Amino acid sequence: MRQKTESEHRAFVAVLAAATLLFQVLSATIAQAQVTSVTGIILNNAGMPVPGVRVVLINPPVNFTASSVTNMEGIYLLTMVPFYVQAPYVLQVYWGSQLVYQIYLTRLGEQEPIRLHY
Amino acid sequence: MTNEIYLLIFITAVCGLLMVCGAFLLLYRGIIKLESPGENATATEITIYSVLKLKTNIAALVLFFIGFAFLWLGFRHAEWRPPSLEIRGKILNVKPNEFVTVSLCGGPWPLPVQNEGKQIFEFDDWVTPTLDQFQLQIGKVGLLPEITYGLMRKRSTGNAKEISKIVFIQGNLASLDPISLNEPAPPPPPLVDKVTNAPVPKVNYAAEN
Repeated sequence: MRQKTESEHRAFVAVLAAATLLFQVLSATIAQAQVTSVTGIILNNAGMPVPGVRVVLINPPVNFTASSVTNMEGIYLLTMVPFYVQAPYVLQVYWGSQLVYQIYLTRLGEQEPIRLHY
Repeated sequence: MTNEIYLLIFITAVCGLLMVCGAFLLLYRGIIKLESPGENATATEITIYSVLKLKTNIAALVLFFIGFAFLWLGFRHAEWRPPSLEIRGKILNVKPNEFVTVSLCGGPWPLPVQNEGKQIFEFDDWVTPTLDQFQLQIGKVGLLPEITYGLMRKRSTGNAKEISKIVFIQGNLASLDPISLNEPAPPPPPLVDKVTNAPVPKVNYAAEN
């Protein structure tokens, strides 16, 4: 009778450990699935890419900020952007310390090309 | 600390380990004993150049003590410290009240990853950043992007001599030629603002994902 109790106890611990592990894996999967990325290209009036400008994505209600710098092809990439938010993201482009472009994002992922007037 | 001192510390630790292992071996063979000596026991006596005289009835304990002392010394000083780096340079055409930023960062450390023709790539190697390569950026507000120098130690040269603005570190010193700052940046373009007067759109980003 005592042995049976011990084996039941071990089985209970094993099931608990497996459930905990499953919960951890599911949590990690769900957490990964709740973020996405924002990418796009920045061009000038002539349609040429603008490298080296800072692109900032903000969402003040959830205190979110991410930034990136355009590469030689004028492309920026912002990763780990949560999409379960109520207020829209604002995408800003900075020329040095000067704000030169800002827009509400109506969708995440790949964006329309941004044209700076110069 | 220099490499020679690190070598001495390493040798000290090895000596200590050897003494402890040797003491175990002598104990195993019965040459020395940990038992309390009898009344007729003769004490072990070692004299080193008439300066240091050791006399004990329990030689094994003395061996252990000395060995552990060496080991402790080794571990006590076995802390890693990065090599120091001194950078010297002169920036031309800067007024006394102008603020120039000079920033240094490590790397880059390119880590080749091959996908072997597949869509999935793997990187299963240890990442061991070295302190042999640095990037030095010098700039000023209102100028074009910073001037970037690559600082490298001699032993990681490769074909770096073909790359412009590479400075080799001699010992712990990187000495730069006189630096002229970049030209003033063009004025920023006018602001394109689609936020200020626009109504806040309703969004449901999750629906797209």
